[in-house]
Amino acid sequence: MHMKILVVDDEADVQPLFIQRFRKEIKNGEFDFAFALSGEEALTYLDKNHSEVILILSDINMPGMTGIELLSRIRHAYEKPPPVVMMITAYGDDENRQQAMQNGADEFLTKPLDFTLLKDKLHSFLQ
Amino acid sequence: MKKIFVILPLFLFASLITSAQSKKIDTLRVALSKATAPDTIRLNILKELSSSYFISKPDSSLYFGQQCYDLAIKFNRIADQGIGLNNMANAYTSLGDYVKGIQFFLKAIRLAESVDDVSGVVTSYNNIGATYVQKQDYLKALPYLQLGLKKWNTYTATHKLTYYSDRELKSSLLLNVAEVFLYTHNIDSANHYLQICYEDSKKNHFDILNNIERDLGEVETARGNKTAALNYFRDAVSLSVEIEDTETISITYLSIANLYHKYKQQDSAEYYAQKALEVAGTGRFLQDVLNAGKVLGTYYDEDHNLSQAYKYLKITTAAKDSLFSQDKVKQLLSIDFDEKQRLRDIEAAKIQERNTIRMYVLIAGMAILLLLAFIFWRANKQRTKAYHLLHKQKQEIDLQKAKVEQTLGELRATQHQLIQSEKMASLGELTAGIAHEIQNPLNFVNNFSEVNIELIDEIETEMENGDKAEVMAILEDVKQNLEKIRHHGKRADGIVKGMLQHSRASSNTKEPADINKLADEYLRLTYHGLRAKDKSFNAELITNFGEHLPLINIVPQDIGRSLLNLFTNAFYAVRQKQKTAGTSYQPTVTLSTGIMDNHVIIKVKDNGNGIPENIREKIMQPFFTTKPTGEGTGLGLSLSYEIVVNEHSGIIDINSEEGEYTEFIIKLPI
Repeated sequence: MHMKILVVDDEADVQPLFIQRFRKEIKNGEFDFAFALSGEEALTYLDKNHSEVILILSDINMPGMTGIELLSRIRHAYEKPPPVVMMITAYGDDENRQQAMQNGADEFLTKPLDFTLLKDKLHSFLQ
Repeated sequence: MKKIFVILPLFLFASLITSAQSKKIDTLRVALSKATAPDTIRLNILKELSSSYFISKPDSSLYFGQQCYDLAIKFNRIADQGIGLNNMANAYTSLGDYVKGIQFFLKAIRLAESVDDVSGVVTSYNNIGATYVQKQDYLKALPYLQLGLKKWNTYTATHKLTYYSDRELKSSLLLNVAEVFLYTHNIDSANHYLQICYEDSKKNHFDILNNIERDLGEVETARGNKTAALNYFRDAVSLSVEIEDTETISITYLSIANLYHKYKQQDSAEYYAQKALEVAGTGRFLQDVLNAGKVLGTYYDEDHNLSQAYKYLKITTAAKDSLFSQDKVKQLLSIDFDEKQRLRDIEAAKIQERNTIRMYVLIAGMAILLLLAFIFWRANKQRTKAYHLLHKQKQEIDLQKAKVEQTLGELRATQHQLIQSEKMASLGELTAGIAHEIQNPLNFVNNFSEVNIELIDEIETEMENGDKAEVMAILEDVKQNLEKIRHHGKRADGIVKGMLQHSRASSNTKEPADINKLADEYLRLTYHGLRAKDKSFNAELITNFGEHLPLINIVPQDIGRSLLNLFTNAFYAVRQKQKTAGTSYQPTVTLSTGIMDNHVIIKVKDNGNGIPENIREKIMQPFFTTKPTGEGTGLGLSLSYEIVVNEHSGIIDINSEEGEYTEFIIKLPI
């Protein structure tokens, strides 16, 4: 069974970044990544592969559907089991954090991403 | 109020129902130029001319009325003297000299009584009543009108009426009575009398129907029936146009304006008050010019539209000025008239006294001389007084003018300041968007650098292991990462450059620029800037960039600023709609570019609430905004207009449908 982590961000270069940062983990088969460039793309992917996706990492500020909106839709659509959702964003203020948590986010991380921290959190959530 | 003047029915042109009034006047003037001998033919022409000008040009009426009267005395034609007197009286009141007007009416009454001309007497009573109404002295008006009605009812019970003016007399009396009640706020009584003369006037096609309808309109206004009021007013206007009753047209427009003002339709109120002013101006009805000007000044004051209020202050000042200098003319005219009258009196006395003792003649002559001296002394004193008053008022007006000019200067300074802070504000908005824009590329620069460090560590390990293939593979990744670092570094650089361009004072030098790139950059900057402020806001951005657009010579930061304004407005519009629309509403802003007719076209379209028809012309005006206070200065579009039209000789077009969309189109010449 593939345990996929879905990464949602409108910046295309996020993909090579993650793949290189998680090189070892991907090689070991610990993590497997999928990428979506928008909230809409993410939902389309989830429609098909819901059972595979165990964790979603999403940016908040995207054109079209925002990360918060995506979060709220995920929480309404996929409840059994609810996937872990972590928000990543450049705006690290309290208001954003509160809004994310109120809508059901499991975690709130700020850019620039500290990948060591991210890896710790991933491990703690998935073990 | 409506006055009637007496027309001798024997004359050919017996009524003023005809709408070919000006044709008639032309005919009469030609006839006058031929009838140079001072005979009865000339007298009749003068009489007709004086009557014909009564409604449209009061000063001409006065002029011809005076000549008519002088000639009528020569031929001892009592009735014609009466006509002349009545016309002059009417002209004086139209020009604002009520004192002289009433004097002449009273003279006319005495004359009519001496020949038992009941119709003449009652007509003059009616005219006096109307004059007092115009002067707003309602207490004095009513007794004359009631006396007139009583006398006329008695007379018409036993005499048959043939002349048009006689038949109209009763309705005119009733109309004036109604107006007394109307202006003393007895609406029901006013309506009662109006209904009676309305029926009569409609049946007989009396000219005063326009005034009746106007007053009925005022009744309906007081009663709160807007539609009924407007219908009466519109009838009044079209009837007045037919008979060229310019003054009533102006007064009715002012009534319409006040009606709209009552219902808080400020734009319509101002429009009709303007029309009232124009019409009054063309007819030289200075009192009505003054009234309309005052009303407009009040309206613009309510709008806090100082420049317009100042304009109408100037107009009312000019009207007042004219009224006062007219006063001077009237004074001089009256002196002239008095003098002539005195001379005639002397003549008459001399003829009578010819057969009496010389001593009596001498005494009479001396008494007259003394009287003359006294009259001249008094007239001179009045003249000096008039000059002093005039001078004082001119000083006051100059003072007010200076004050207003000072305020205007202060306003201009404030406007300049506001424009500066508007520029700073737009810069601030951009900064937030730019900060976000820079964050992402910098992020990548840092992250990919860190990744490369890790990769190089791996290389070192693999080198020791001797796995050349793996080392080459990793090196390839390192290279690609460095490419990405370079790419994002340049991106950040470009953003900072763009920001510097925007903040730099406009050099006003044009340079060739790529419109697609400029528009795209500002669109995204605006969007991110707004999102930085309002995190729940999002919109769909659609871009349709034309291909092969030529570079055009523009000042990039200025056109960029204009586009910024358009984008900001578009986002604001969809944001507003989003607040009240359902979840199915998708806010969308579309940017398109292309070429047409030797111009580069930039279209910014939003699916917001559109622009209502009645403000579409105003949105380019400085300080005009539909945003609540504090949210917008109202300068954005007027600045954009300045930049596109004045600085770049371009065009801004607007298409909009209320509730659906708005589209701004900028056309720049290639």
